[in-house]
Amino acid sequence: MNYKKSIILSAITLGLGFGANAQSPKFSLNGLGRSIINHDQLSGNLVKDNTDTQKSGISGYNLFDLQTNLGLDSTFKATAVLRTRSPFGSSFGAITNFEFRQFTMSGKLKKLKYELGDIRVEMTPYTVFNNEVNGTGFESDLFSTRRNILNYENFNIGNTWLLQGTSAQYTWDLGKERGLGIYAFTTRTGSTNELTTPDRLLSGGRLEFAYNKHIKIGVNEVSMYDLAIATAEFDYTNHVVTGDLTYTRKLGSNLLNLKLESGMSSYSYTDNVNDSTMAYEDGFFDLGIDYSLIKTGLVLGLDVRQVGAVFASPTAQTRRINVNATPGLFEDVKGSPRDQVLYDRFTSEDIYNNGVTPNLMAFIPYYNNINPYGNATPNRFVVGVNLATDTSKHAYSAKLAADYGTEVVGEGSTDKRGFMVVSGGGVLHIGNLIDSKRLLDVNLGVRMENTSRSGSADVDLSSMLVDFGFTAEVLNRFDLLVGAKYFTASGNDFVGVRDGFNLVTGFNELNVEINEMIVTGGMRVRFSKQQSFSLNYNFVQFQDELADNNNYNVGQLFFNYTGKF
Amino acid sequence: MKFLKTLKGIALGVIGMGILVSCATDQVGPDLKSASSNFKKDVKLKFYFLGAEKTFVNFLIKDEAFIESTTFSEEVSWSLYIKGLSSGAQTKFSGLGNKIETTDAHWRRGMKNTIQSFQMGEEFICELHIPGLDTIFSTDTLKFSNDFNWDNIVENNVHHSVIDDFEVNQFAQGLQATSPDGNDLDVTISVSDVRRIKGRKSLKMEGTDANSNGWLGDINHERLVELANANSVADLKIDSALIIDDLYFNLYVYGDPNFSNTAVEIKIYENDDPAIKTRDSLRLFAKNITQTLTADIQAISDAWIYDIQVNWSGWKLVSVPYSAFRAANSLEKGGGGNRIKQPWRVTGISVSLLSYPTSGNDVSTFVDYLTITQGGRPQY
Repeated sequence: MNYKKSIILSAITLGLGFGANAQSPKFSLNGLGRSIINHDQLSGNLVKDNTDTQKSGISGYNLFDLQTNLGLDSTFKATAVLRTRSPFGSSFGAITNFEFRQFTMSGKLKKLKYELGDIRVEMTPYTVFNNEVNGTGFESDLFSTRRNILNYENFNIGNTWLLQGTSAQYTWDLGKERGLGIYAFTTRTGSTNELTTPDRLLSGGRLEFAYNKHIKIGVNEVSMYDLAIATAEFDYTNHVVTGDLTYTRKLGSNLLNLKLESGMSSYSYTDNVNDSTMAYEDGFFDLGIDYSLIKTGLVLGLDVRQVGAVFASPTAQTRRINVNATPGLFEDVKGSPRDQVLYDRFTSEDIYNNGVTPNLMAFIPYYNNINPYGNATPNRFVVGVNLATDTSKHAYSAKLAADYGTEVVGEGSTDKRGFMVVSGGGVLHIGNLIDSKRLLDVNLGVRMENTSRSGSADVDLSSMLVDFGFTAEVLNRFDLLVGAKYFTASGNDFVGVRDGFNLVTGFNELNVEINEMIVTGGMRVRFSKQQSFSLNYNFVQFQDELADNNNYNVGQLFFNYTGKF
Repeated sequence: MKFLKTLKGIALGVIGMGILVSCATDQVGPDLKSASSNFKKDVKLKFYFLGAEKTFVNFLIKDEAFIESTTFSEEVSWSLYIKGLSSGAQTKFSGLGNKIETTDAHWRRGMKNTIQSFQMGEEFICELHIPGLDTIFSTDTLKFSNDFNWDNIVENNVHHSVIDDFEVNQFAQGLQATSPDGNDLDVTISVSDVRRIKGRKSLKMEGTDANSNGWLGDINHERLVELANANSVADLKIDSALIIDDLYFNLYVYGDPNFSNTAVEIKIYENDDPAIKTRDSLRLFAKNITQTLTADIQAISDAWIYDIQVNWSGWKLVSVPYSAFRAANSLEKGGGGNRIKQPWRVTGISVSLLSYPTSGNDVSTFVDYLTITQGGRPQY
């Protein structure tokens, strides 16, 4: 479990930050500039002898985000990000867009910290939590650079949601290492069209009590609700209330960390068109134990969680990838939208979602079936163990994890699906190992998943993702990089179709037998820690064994300059 | 130690609560059973209308049709789709069994799961999908001769009155008069088959608000009393005891993002003449073909307005309760009544095209199937 940073700690940190800069108005600038050009080519039997499909193209853009920071004193600070974006190929500023990308005001009044405008919100994995897209966690730098671009463009920082509204937090020092903190926010996630759609608000907060330096208890509440208008087609309300407990203790030279969270959700949706209302409640618990072996630099983890079949927490279950969106790269093939493949999942800006959705979004089971909606995935009982190196290891880092899960309630049958996921990998910093200042890293990662069910509707779906990466600094700050991903999936599953009430009302049958190989190679020049230029070539080979005419290759030359200041 | 014991108790209690609340039924979703490799792929589908196997359906003649299958070699889950080959309209039935009985696939009143309705004269097919099979069983091509007429139909306790289906201009029972703004350019208010959602045609409304007054034209009841024109009190369209939250005005509206400054205004006219004291006197007033809602009556009556800003793409069914309408503020045209919404005094409707929120723009939309429903939103 990856909880929000302690309210008490963050409030103190903020106070120190403002304390250091509080005396006179200060103005500063920072930002990001990026230039991307890609040359794409499409081939294979999918488009063979087809003259209607674009098989080659060059695209890209230049953008510059200028962040202005004004701090009058500790009580007020304003930050605005102005974006200038120009598509590649437009001359003399034509088709150049200017927009305010982000605007925030914040400050501290004694012990009260406040934020207005675009605020970042994160609580627990079951209340407010923006889940990352899963993978092996050990991909090549060339792939993670592409993923970082998507995260930046979609406002993804860590597990926060960027929302519009206001937040505040306050702390009390109760002495004897005890403290009390309160955090609250309210935001608007959707605006009314003054006809069929009402305004939708999201409000919540956390009350945290630190009993001593070992024990912390929290209560969390998040509500998403509509402000009713007479012509609205629906009226939606969802509440989530949870309690959590963190216990940390040093046992000899080792460290025990226990985290427990449990709670309930309450969902209500009135369909005004069909004059029907659906309401239900469900709950969850999650117990996580980490045992850090300080001397050996290893962390042993155990996690047990159960989430009810209709547990609903939109801000913890909304996905970053919209699987129904069409990727921008060769979006139209033979008059039809091209389906997403693995390559799109870390390179396509068009399929990412940065808004909170009240209903569970669709997902593709072969990429992740055990927790497509993060830890808050409904209808799961999961036991997981993991072993990982801690940050004390400079020559390598590695992780091995195994998760076994089942459904709490069968879908379409009393038989329950079973899930098994094994993942692991590592990064070997050869440069550190041989005391060289040059970067010399090797990455290797694997994720294997199987879903099975017996009974009246058999399920047997397997997938495997393998990652490889190699980075070598051949000259000072000049790197050569290679990377590869291999993904394969085969078998069948039945994907639940959900109605407007978020309930399963039918199933779509999925039969799959695909292979995808992604190979990349290129160079990178690191001008500084903040600035780099890279040029690499990506080759994607996608094969669908169940469809005769759905095999294709994509070649992409990718130029990227990114500089932060 | 005492605290740790207390902590342990809390932890166990919290876990227990989590387990307790997440224990629910044994199954979610409908029963799912896929076909085995022994399933015999000799399934046939039959389409029944008017009590016999037919190759067409006409919901103006009879409001129901049925689909039946031959017996399967084993019990399976099935999904049966009725698909309009031109409109894209679709209806779905699903179930579990070793046969599709006519009671399983009872197609009433041309109902569909899509916003698009089946179109008069189009071809359609029935398709059977069974999980575990790579075969789709289908009927031969069938014909959808006529859609159901929802006028004066009660479905799920909702009474429907069709004001205008915009199939022909100057529809005798519908909105008869168009009034384009003479100072605007190229204003069109006419039925068209360019866009269709229900029936073969819809009402195209477009133009340029050249004089920047925001208004481009209306289509309306000619005398503005036609809604009260009935042979008897029992035939009046609007119930006497209806509350304003239960009276809905419904219209399909097509949004084109290229004309995002388009708005459609619905205006409801009441006759608040103090001389009209009963529904029967209102009916007799409307029955007299020389009577209209003249300027002097409008000056002492209310008119109620609702503006629909068309800021979406494609068709949408808009349903507006009478309670959401605002009072017209023109004292000459429906702003001088008692300012009380009285459904039984409603006599006429107009639909206007506006350049809104910014005046002076090119605007365009299509509207279709204007209805009144009492007791809820439309059920079609």
